[in-house]
Amino acid sequence: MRCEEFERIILSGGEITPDMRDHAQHCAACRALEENADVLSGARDMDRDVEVPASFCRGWRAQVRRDAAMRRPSLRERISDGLASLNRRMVLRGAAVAACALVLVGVGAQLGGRESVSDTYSAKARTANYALSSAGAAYGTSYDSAAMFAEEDSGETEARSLSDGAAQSERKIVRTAQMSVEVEDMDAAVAALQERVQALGGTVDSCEISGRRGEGRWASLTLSVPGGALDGFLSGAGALGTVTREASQTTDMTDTYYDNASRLESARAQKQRLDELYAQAQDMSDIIEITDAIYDLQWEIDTLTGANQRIDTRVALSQVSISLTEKASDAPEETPDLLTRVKESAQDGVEALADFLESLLLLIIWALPWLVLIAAVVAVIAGIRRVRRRR
Amino acid sequence: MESSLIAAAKGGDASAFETLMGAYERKVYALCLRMMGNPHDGEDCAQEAMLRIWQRLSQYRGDSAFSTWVYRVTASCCTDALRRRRPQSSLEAMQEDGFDARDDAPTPPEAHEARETQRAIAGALADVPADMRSVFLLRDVHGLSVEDTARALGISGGTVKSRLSRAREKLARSLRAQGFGPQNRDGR
Ligand SMILES: [Zn+2]
Repeated sequence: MRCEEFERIILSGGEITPDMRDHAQHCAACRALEENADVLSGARDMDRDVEVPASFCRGWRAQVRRDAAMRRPSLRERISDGLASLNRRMVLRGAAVAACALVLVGVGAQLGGRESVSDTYSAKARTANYALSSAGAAYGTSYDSAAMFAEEDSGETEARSLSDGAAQSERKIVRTAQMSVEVEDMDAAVAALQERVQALGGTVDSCEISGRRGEGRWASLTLSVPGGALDGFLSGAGALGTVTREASQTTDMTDTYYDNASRLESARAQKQRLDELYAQAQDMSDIIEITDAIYDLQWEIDTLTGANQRIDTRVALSQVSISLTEKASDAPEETPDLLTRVKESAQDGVEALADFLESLLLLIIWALPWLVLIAAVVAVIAGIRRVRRRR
Repeated sequence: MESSLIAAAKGGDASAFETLMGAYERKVYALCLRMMGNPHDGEDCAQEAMLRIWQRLSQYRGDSAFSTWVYRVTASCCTDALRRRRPQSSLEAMQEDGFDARDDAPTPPEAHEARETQRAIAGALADVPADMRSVFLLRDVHGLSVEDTARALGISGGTVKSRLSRAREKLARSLRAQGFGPQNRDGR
C-alpha cells in the first residue's frame, strides 16, 4: 500500500483495512495522519480562499516581458548565476572599469615604448587602487539605490493599475498604515487614540500595553479607521509625540473584486440551473451527483461572497497599527562604558576588514582572465619589438 | 498543449510563457504565501519565483512533470528568501504580526466553519520549521505524491515521510490547543 492511497481513504472517512493497519505500523507519516485526521482534514482546502494579489499577476508578466525584450542569454545567465547580490555586481562594475583601464595603460605603455618598467608598474598600481576605492563607494550606496528602485517600481505599478482599471465602475483601494510614536504619557496617549477612533466611527481592534510605569512602557494598538478619515487620523496620532516611523500601503483590489463578482454571478446562475434539475431528477444516482455539484457551487458562492465582503470591509476601514513607546521618566540615557565601546569598535573594524577582503578576493578572481589576456598582449608586443630591434 | 507552450517559452516567447504559467500562478503564490507567512513577503517571493522559472526554463528537461519542476524552483526561492530574511527585532515582529492579523480580522458573520479551520491551520503552520513546512504544504495542501515532493525539494522519500510525520503532529497539537477537533478526544 502507498501513502497516497492510505491518505485518500483516511481523508474520505473510509474504514481502516488490515492492509492499512500494516502500512501505518511502518509509516510514521501515515500514523500521524490517522491519529490527527479530525483536525488535519481541512488542510487540503487551506488555500481555497487565498486572494492572489492583482499586483502579482500583473507584476510577473511585466517583468517577464521586460526580461524577454532585453534578453542576451549567455551573458545574463552567467551574471545571474555567478553573482547573487547587488553588492557584488557593484564591485564587479568597478572592477570592469579598472580592468579596461589596465588593458589600455598596459598596451599604451608597451606601444609608447619609452616608459620604464617601474613607471608601468606604478600606473598599474594606481588603476588597481582606483578599482578598490570605486568598489568601496559602490558598497556604501548599493542599499540606497536598491530602495530607490523599489520605489520606482511601485510607482510604476500604481500608474499602470490606474490606467488599466479606468473602465471599471468603482475602485477598490485598500489602505493600511503603521506608525511608531514616542510619547511622554502613555495613558493619555492611548486614551486620546481610543477617543479619536471612536469619534471617527472606527474601532480599536486590539490594544496591548507592556512594561512598568516610569520605566518606559510599550503599547501596540490595532485600529480600524474609516478610509476617508485616515490621513487626518494619522496626522492627529503623529501629534501625540515624536513620530519615529511611519509607513502606509495602498493595495488595489479592484481586479480581484470584479473578477470574484463575475465568478459569483456565473456560480449563482449555474446553481439555479442545478436547482431546477434537482427538482426534476428521478434517478437516485442523478440526485446524488446533483447534490454534490450544488454543494460545491454553494461553497464557491460562500467563498466568493466572503472574499468580496472582506474586501469591502477593508476598503471602508483602513487598518492602522500604532506602537507607542513611553519616554522613561527617571532613567537618564546611559552612555556605554569604555570597555563596551572598545569592543564595539573592534568588532566594526573586523567586519570592515572582512568586507574589504571579500571585495579584494572577488576583484582578483574577476581580473584573472584579464591578466592572462594582458600578459598575452604584452608578450606579443615584446616579441614584435625584439624582432624589429634585431633587424 | 503544455509541452508546446513550454517549447515556445524556451524559445523566448513571453506570451507563451504567460499562458503556460497563468495556470500555475495561484499555486506559486499560495506556496510562497504560506512559506513566507505574510502577504508582502509572499508576493515578493512569488514574483521572484516566476522570473526564475522563466530564466531557467532551459534547464527543464522533462524528466519530471512540469508542475513538479515549477514547485521545485518555487520552493528553492522560498528557501533562499527565508535564508536572506534578516532577524527581526521584536518590535518589527509584533508589527508584522499586527499586519497579518489585520488581514484576517474583519470576519463576515456568515463565515464558513471550514474557513475558520483553514485560517487556523495557516496560523499554526507559521510555527512549524520551514523544512517541515515545505513538505507539509507540498504533500498535504498541494497534493503532490511522496516521490514528487522528494523531487521538488531535492530530498529523499524517507526524509519526506519523517518530516511530514513531525509536521502533521506539530500542527495537530497546535490546532487542538486552539480548540479545533472533537473536544477531550483522549478523555484527558
Ligand atoms: Zn505512509
